[in-house]
Amino acid sequence: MRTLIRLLQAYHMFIIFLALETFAFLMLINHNPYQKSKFTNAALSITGEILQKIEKVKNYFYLAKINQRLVHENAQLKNSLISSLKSNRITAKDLSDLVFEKHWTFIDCNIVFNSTNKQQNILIIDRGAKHGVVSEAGIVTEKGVIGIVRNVSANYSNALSLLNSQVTISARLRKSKHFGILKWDGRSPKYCYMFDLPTHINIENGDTIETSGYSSIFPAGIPIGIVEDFDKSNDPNFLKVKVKLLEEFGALSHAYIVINKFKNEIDSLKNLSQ
Amino acid sequence: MIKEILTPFARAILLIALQLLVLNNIELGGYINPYLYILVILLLPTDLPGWLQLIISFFTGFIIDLYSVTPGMHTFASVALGYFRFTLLKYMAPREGYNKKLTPSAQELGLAWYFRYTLILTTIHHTILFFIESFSFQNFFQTLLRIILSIAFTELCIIIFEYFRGTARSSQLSN
Repeated sequence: MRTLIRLLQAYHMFIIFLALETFAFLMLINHNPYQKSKFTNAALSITGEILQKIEKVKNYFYLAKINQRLVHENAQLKNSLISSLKSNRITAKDLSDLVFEKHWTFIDCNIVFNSTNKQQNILIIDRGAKHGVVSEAGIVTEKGVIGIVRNVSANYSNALSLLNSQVTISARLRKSKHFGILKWDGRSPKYCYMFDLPTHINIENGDTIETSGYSSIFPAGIPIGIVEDFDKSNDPNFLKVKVKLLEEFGALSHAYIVINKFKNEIDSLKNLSQ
Repeated sequence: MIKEILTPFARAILLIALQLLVLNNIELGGYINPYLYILVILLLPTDLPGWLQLIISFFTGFIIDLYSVTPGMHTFASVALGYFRFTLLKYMAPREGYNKKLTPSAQELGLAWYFRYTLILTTIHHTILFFIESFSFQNFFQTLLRIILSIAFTELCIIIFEYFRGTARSSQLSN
């Protein structure tokens, strides 16, 4: 207490000075409109700045929450984008005509899954039973054959790629119409092998291999590949032909599903004869 | 004793009246505003207690404010002036100290001392006053020019006043 009094005594001059100046200053800013507005503005801008700083710091604590909200909003927006919708529109139309009856139906599709590096490669396409896809329909592109539908669900189908050792395709030489079977050997995705061609036929490198139309899966004449090499030494009666595939299997995106309207009819006839 | 109190008091009334009636009405382009009333504070006796000096400074400024309708401005500057004068007098004290009941004057402390003393305090007072008046640093150089011109004019008035005080005193002495 005594120290306090001594302190007050030592600094009484300064304390009185401060008190009087404070009084004068209050008078100044309270009774002079110009100084008042200036002071209010300055005070406001200072408090505003400080409040802004505090708000900035406070915002950090809400970042997680805000992030969450943004993610929700993003998901909502993405859901409303056209790219999140699956188009069910197909372009195939049926003809009802007695002279020209529809035989092959082509349905456009997107390939949503594809592999080339396995022994049993498969494709998944975004068309299913809803769109008229049936099991054992063929899948082709404008360049050539790429697979055969295996299982069909409502909206999607899975298919065996041509690069699948379970798949055999009835194929022929475009030039001479001699037919054989085409299989993948499980190695390079660029080549398939064709068997059962007789050795006496006239064959050259660069000849086109196409579908034969005997299998009721593909229509006749859809290209598959070109002859890269052929080998007679293996078997005296039959050739082994190395076929370079026309389609680039690593870059599939669009394709057509080929549906044979008379497949059941043909198959039942086949079964009858066996 | 009565004379000792009355003389500063009469001087204060004279200076304040001079300020309010004459000097406040001087308009020289808005740049020159002499404030001679600060002499009331500058010429307070040196042995007055500090707090009393401050109170007198306060009321001097307050009266000027009242009559020139600028509440707070002169009060603020005057209180600051009183405080700085109190401090400055300590630093500028002659080696043997001030005489008792001394009012600073050129005659007793020398014209150089008196000029330095008044110039420093006028500068402090005017700087504070004019910046409070403009209350911003936006027109800094304009304000600075006003301060310098007004200091010069006030200082001139102070020296003239001191001259008259000196002659009055010397005539008194010669009588």
